Order: sequence, then C-alpha cells, then structure tokens
Amino acid sequence: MKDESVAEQEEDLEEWAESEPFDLLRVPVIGPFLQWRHSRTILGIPLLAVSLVMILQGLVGPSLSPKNLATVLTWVHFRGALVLAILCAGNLFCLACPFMLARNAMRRFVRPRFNWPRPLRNKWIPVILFALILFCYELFALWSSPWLTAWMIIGYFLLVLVVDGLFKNASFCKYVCPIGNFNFIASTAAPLEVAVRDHAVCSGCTTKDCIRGSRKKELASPGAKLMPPSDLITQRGCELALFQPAKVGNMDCTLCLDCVHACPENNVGLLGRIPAAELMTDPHRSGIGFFSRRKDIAALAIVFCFGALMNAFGMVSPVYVVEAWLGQMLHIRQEAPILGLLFFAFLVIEPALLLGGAAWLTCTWAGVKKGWLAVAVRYTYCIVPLGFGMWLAHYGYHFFTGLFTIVPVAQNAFAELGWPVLGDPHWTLVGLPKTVVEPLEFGFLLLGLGGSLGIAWRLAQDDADERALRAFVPWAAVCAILFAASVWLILQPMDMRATMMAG
Amino acid sequence: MRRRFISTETNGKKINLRGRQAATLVFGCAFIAGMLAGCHRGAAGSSEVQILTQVEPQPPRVGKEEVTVRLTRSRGEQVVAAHVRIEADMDHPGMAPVFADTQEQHPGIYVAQIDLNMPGDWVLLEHVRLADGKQIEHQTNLKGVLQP
Repeated sequence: MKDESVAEQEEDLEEWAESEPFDLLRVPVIGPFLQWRHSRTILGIPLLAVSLVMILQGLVGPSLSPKNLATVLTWVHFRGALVLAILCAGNLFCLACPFMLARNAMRRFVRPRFNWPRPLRNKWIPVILFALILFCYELFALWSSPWLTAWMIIGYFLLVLVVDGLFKNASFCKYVCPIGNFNFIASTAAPLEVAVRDHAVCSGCTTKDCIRGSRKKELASPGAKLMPPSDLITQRGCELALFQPAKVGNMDCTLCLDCVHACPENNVGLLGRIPAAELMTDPHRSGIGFFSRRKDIAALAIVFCFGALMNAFGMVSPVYVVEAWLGQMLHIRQEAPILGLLFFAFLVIEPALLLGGAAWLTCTWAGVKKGWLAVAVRYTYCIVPLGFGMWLAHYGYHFFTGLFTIVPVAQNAFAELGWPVLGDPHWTLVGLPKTVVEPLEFGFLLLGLGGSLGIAWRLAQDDADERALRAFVPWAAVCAILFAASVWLILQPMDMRATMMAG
Repeated sequence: MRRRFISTETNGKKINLRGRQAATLVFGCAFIAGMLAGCHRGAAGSSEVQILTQVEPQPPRVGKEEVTVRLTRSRGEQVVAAHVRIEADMDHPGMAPVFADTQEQHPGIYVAQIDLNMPGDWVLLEHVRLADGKQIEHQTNLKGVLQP
C-alpha cells in the first residue's frame, strides 16, 4: 500500500510539472481586461488623478504631515502597497504608472529625436538617484513635509517629460527611474512574470512583433514606404529592449504588456513561477546580458539591500546616538556631512567588507576559479530576497499600522473644501495593532532569509560541486548578519526626528 | 540668430511668438509657484488671543507629560471659561494621534496630562473654543521626545 501511494504521489508530481503554469491572462475578467490594449491607460488614470490631488493637497493643504494626503498617501500607503503588490503579483506600479500616462500624452505632440547615449546605457544613474532619494528623505525629513513631498512628485513628472521628450523608447524607465529600478530588482522575487507560453511558436516567428511592434499590412505596403518606420507601427513592441523568446525574469520589465498586445500569435502570458528562482541561475538575458557581468545591476542590488537597512536605521533611536558621537568626534555640527558619512558606511564600506570578504573566502576556501570581484558580483544577487524582506517589513509596518489614516485625512480634505460629504474626520481611525503587524514583519524577514539562503546554496552548487558547502558558508554568514541586523532594527522602538543632530 | 529663434511667421505675418510664449510660460510657472508657496500654511492662531504652551518635564520623554496652555488677550487679561483640547500628532504620517481635554486650573491657565506613546518629533495642536463660541487652533512643535 505504501509503495502504491508513493507511486501515486510521484505521478501527481510529474503531472504537476508537465501542466501549464498559472497564467493571469487566462483568468476570466482580469485576463481579457489586461489583454485590452488600453488597459494600462485605464489603470493609470486613477493613479494620475490621485497624484494630482496629492500635489494640490501638498501645496495648499494642511501643513501637518499626518493630516495631508500628499504625505499620508506617499509615505504610508503608496510605498507599502507597492512592495506588497510585488510580493503578491509583480511590478503593478509600473503597469499603472501615472508618469507614463503623462509621458504618452506628451508624445502625441512631441516626438523624441535622440537615442539614449551609449555610455549611459546601464544602471549607474538609477543607483545614484536611488541612494540620493534615500539620503534626501533623511536629510530633509521628507515624510514630515507635504510641501516638499508635493514638489518631489512634480519634479518626478518634469524629469519624466524632459527625458522621454528628448530620448526615444522607454529611456527614463530603463536608465533613469529610481522607483522603476527599485521595482525591477524587487520583482525578481515576484511570483508572476511576463513570458512566452510556447517557445516552439516563437521559433517559427519571422516578424518579431514583440520587440519591433506590429504594423498594419496596408500601412506596410510599398506605397507607404516613404513614411518613417515609426509611423507604420500600430502597436509598439517592448520599449525596454526585452525580446520575449530570450527574456529571462522580471528585470527591466514594467509589465506594460506591449509585447502581449503586439504578439500576433497570442503567445505571451503573465505566468506563475517560483519567486526569486531567476536569481538561482545566470543565463543570458535579453536586453540585459549576464547578471554576473553587470556590476551596475549588482550595485543596484547592494543599494536595494543595504539601503533597506539604512532607511530603517534612520527611524530608530540609535541613529541619533551614532550621529551625536560622530559629530563630537569630527567636530561637525551640520547634519549633511554626518549623514553622508553614515550613508557611505552603510552603502559602500559595509557591503565592500561583507561581500568582498565572502567572495575572497569563496575563492580561497572553496577553490572557485574566478576573480573575487566576479564572485562578489555573482553572489550579490543572493541578498536581494533579504533586502526585499526588509523593505516589506519596514513599509508593511507603516502601511498596516496606518492603513485607515487615509479615511480621516480624506474626510478632512473634503471638509476643508467646504464640502463635508464624508462627514467629520475620525482622527482615531489608524490601522492594525502592532501585535498583528509585528509577526508579519518577522514573517517577511524569514521569507527573505529563506530565499537568500536558497539562492546562495544553488550558486555554490553550480560553482563548487564537491566543495559547495565551503562556497555556501561565507554567503550564509552574510545572510545571517543581514538578517540579525534586520531583526534588531525591527525590535527597536520607532523614533522619527526631522533634525537628527538636535537629539 | 537670436532674433530668428524667437520669431515665427503665421500666414505671412511675422510675430514674436516663441519668445512671448516662452516668457509667458516661465513667468506663469514662477507666478503659480509663488502663489502656491504663499498658500503654504503656518501655525494657525488669532491676533486677539495669544496662546502660550509649555510642556513639563523638560526634556520631554515618552509617557505622561503635563501640558499647560495660557490664554491671554493682547492687553494682558486672562481668557477664562474657554474649552481647550490638546491633540498630539507624530510628525510622521500614519501614527495614532493622542487627545486630552484640559482643566482650567487658574483663570486663563489650562492644564492637561498627555500620554506621548513613542519617541520622536511631535506636534501639539491646541484646539481652543472661547466662551463666545469662537474657535482657534494653535500649533506647537515638540521636537525630540526621548525614550523614558
């Protein structure tokens, strides 16, 4: 009997492995809606409207941060919803991006003339901008200023319009946008991926519409040859240079679904997968190359992971002790240089020591025949799930504990307009209790730790089959240190001060 | 060259359009930005009633703090029989505000105990309703509340 049940289980497993993966585009209602070519525009309209309301409230609404839609929506709801959406589905914010809606509207009147400069076709600009945003968040206490928050949103819109007004394709998304690149690296741990349903169908494809865009036959006729090629396109292909048959994973994918709309064979789906599995292997990725050769993407992963710790460290009491100590040691009373030193320590020195040390150990102890820098770049991606776990824990905390604060703030906004349709503000509506949220935070961190260890083990197996354990241990130690630091940060009482040095 | 850049022709009529449009755009944006900056609100108050708020003990720490609100008119006379409600908000959005009603312990002096439940920057809002029904709101920043 026991043998029969084992055989049945094995059969079930085989059937499961051979079965088609979950495809969100085949789900009733949701699937047809997403396959509709205007779905992204429809999804972007509410976000654009909310962005405009946030800008208005931030500029002319209450000056107190907890009572203003700009700050409440940006720093409580938007950040939390963004990472939770990635955890549950994928890069949904980029799918419904309000900046892209404004950009697409602009491109009806302004046609970009230039290609993005070749030396800048990498992630160094988003890495710098990402670190700069984290720095400015602490230095200018952006969370406490609706006015600055509103101008930050305006600045983002202007930057999108300038970059994509000058440069072709999705230059801003791929080479500039810090939010988008945060989403790209985080969504390597997402459960859904835009991917080809059947590679055999692609092998017979001659038009490559998924990347070149689809053209109407009558427009592509000889009589229309004088028209610029871009005028022949009726549905654009991937603007981020991801060729579907060779695309691997979610890096650089905005979920715009242009490839889905362009494919004449309806062969592109939004498929289910094992989260973070794409980090366990290092194939050549369309539009990206090999992860292990991309120092810029590794740097993005480092800022993503260590920035998560720094961002959380900036909101707990010990940061003020460290800042005061540094200020006394260096006889500096201004906050900017002290904060700059802290960021340098967190985002450069600490990763260099931890990752460099682990890479050196992997080379010498496990005998991996690669340079230590190449090993460091290759294994850096294993800490991405841990970093994502920390962002989830941090932003999830604010999201869940402040979940209902949007209600009184919206009530107040209407009341201030002299139109109290939502009633008097119920300021006591806040969110879920900490006793509920704290276990969730630890759950996110544990998920991240599990994912990171799994990736490190798989990479170690590939690099040093017989000495896999020796290659794994240094990276497991890095993961353990980062996990311990994350748990320690979560256990600290929150302490937000606009002026760190004053404390 | 510059002249050519800022001029354009429409139906044969030469008009200085681009320069004018550009100038209008720049000054329009500057005007709107200035207007919006001007609309940025500071602490509310009243020219007739002066509000002075003290918090003890100093430096403020997590836990019970005594908030004393003194209401005086411009000529120095005490404002009696007012209702003063204290609201304490964290500077960060998404946190629960704390409320406390004051007692008028002496003429024009209103006192309440308020429970600051986490360290960091707080803002005290004094919601004042005068005896004649007039309402005033005043804001006091309470920076750097420390651990107990």
